[in-house]
Amino acid sequence: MPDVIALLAEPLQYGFMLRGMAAAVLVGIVCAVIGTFVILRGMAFLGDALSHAILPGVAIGTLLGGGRPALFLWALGTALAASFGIGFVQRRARIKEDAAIGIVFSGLFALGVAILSAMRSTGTDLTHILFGNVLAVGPGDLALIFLCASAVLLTLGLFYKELVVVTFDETFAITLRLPAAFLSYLLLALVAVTTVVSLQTVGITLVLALLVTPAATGFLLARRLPVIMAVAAVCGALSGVTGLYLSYYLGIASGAAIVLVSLALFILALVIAPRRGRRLFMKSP
Amino acid sequence: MFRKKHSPHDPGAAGLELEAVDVRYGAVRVLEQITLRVEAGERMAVIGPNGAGKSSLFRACAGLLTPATGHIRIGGSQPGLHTCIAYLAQRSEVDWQFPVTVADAVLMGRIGRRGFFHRLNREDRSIAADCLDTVGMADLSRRQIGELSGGQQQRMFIARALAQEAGIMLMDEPFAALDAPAREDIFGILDQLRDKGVAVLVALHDLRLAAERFDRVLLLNRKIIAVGKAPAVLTPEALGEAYGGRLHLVHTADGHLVFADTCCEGG
Repeated sequence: MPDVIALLAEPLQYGFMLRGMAAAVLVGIVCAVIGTFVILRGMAFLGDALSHAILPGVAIGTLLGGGRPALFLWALGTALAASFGIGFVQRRARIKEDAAIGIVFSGLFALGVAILSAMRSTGTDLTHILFGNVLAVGPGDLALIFLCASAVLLTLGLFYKELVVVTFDETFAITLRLPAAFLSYLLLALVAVTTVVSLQTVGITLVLALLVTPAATGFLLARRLPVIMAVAAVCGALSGVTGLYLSYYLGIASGAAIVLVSLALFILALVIAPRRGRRLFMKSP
Repeated sequence: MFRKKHSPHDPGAAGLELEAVDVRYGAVRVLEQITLRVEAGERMAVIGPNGAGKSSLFRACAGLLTPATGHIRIGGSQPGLHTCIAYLAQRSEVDWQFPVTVADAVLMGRIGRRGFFHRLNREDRSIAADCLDTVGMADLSRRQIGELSGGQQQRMFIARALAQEAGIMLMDEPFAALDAPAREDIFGILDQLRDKGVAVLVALHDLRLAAERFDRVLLLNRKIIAVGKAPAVLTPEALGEAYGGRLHLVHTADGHLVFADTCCEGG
């Protein structure tokens, strides 16, 4: 037993591990909670596209300098602009929505790669942007993550009942004279902020996993939305902590370790509740 | 903030009033020159072939579609100012796997009354429970909505509309795929709604139900073909005009008409 405690305690003597843990837990929770809405609204592809669309913002932020906070703001601005772009496409476009999203956001991603490749000399590590590096989270970064995660959860709490109604039955929400368009954009903005917050932990390519996997586990294990969110949040936080321990002892990239743990939890839930799993996968959009 | 206040009703005005309403989707006119008045407590059947504009009529009345020309007034003002009008969409339009219980779904009707940043309180819960009781589903309140039968789903919609304090209910094919007992349950509730002064418009395909169980019948095919008491509306000429070749009329020996809507949908 003391061995286990020693094993668990050892990484925590390092400041970077403690900050990494805190960041992973915060991100795990906020992604899981927002992720339940992402699943309910069938926005998974959109969430993935959004995270990729941030890259040119990150690239320009790096190009202009100004340190981490400036980079963060650039990413946030790009994400918000991209999410409103998506919202506009969803509501107005004549071409198929998923095609439009694919065109616009793979294009933006390519633009980001192009800009970054042109400025190789600045020493920006593309892999850190693509795959995250939670162990490089500084005290200032942690404060930003905390602020943004709190803001997202607080906003979600304030508009919770309206967001649930507009997600469940938009027609009904409109006859209650709720501002359905505003609420849809609000949710997109929350997904955008959540994505940016997650960049440092799992990176652009794996954000989708944090949004979708713990939330899906919640759907397997619970039946009512608030309980689903709570289960998802616990899974998200647990994946963050366990993933970092695995990363420390096995030398795996932290983002990948976090995602793999969340996947393991999902498979476990699928084994425990196989009947509901079928329902989740067969759910009509 | 963001939310329009429910507009008070003008005491002299009809429950629902349409005046020369045209509705268009792009260049296509789906409704033409609809003029109609529905009083409180009235029960009206809306019949017509598929694509006649029944859903569009309801959606326009509920403020979900804006007429290209003409006016729609609820209690004297435009639908967008009212939360007292309930549109009960076809059941197939709802995600029944959504993770809420029956009680949760009915409680959603109260949100229009509470507004942003106000939690639903005990009073709302008790009103929602009463509404479920009215439709005879008090014992099902903790069920997931996906576990309900078709008739129960429809009754849950009605309970949600009651929780919304709807004075006008627009029901789009509520009887589709329901058996006779489930249908009679709904008519039982409609009788109670009449006593409460709720005006109910029901889109349906069953001409016999329309003739026997409603105060008035509206025969629609883009325009109003006829409106009034069933015997005056369901004439061979009017039905022929509305349905064209899709309706077969057969005169039987005792002078009754037998008709069959040959189109695809049940109900």
